[in-house]
Amino acid sequence: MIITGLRFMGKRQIGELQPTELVITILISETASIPLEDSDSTLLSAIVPVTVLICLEVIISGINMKNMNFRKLFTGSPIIVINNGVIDQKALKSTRISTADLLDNLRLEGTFDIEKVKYAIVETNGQLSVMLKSSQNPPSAADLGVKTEDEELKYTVINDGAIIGSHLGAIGVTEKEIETQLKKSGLNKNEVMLMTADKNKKYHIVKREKTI
Amino acid sequence: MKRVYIAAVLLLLCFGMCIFFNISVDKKCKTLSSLITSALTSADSGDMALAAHKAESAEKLWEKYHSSFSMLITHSHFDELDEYIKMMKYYGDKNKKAEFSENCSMAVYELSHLRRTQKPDAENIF
Repeated sequence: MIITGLRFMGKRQIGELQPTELVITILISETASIPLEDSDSTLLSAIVPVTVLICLEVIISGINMKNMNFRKLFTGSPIIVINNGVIDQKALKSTRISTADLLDNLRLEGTFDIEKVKYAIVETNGQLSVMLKSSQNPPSAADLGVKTEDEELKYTVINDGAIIGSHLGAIGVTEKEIETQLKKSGLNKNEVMLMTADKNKKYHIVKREKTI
Repeated sequence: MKRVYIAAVLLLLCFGMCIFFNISVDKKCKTLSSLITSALTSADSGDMALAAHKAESAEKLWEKYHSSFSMLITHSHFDELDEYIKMMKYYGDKNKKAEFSENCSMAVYELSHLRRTQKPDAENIF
């Protein structure tokens, strides 16, 4: 039931948690454990509150999407802790983040020198977003004037010998085309561990080793 | 938004279910209580045979209700009631009026207590 509930709440719930999501997740796990620990309790005494919590979380996140004020009330606002290269000590104090924590988080973001940072924002889920000074950003292909081709997303079409039908439609390839491609490589699908393809019909095949 | 609507429907269903079960428990407690009270009245008027017969009916009714009570209420909350109803039947069969009446009174008290504790009022919530 909990797994179904978490799936119903969506991917957000499994990733980084907002304050309301964190509270509801803790409450759900606590409530669900009651009938497991206490045989005196009824199963319904966990099912009903867990369902109510899941529904409330979905409704709250639905309203959050539509109403900015509601979102601000329930999830708070992002706080700028480094503004234009200067540490905002007041903001840092209000978020109760020490300078050591700030440096920790910057290092986790791949920035070892605070002087390279133009903006750092504490997001509502507690994560730190960092924007480097433009002089510190690695140049992109566009900056260097290099022409590049846009890469297409590669889909797995065969996984461990099984064709994934739902991905074929996404890249506009038929099962027959896949089999023809395999024949060209002298393989059948059972000999393939992994095969990927993109919309440009670029294929990549990883052969299954016989000993595995 | 589809999930939000489903969640709202599920939430309403949960509330509806809670209200329905609450009314159902209340009604069952009332029915059982009136049957036991009438058994007690019969015993007080000296008709122990009728009182024992009513106690037997009350026990049968309790057995019928037991599974739904077990599903809805923490089991230990009605353990004593279960015992009083069984003893009530026992003393009714043995024609022991004093013990019978005492168990009837206790069963009625337990039922009223159960009804009170299941009510979603401020006293129970806070």
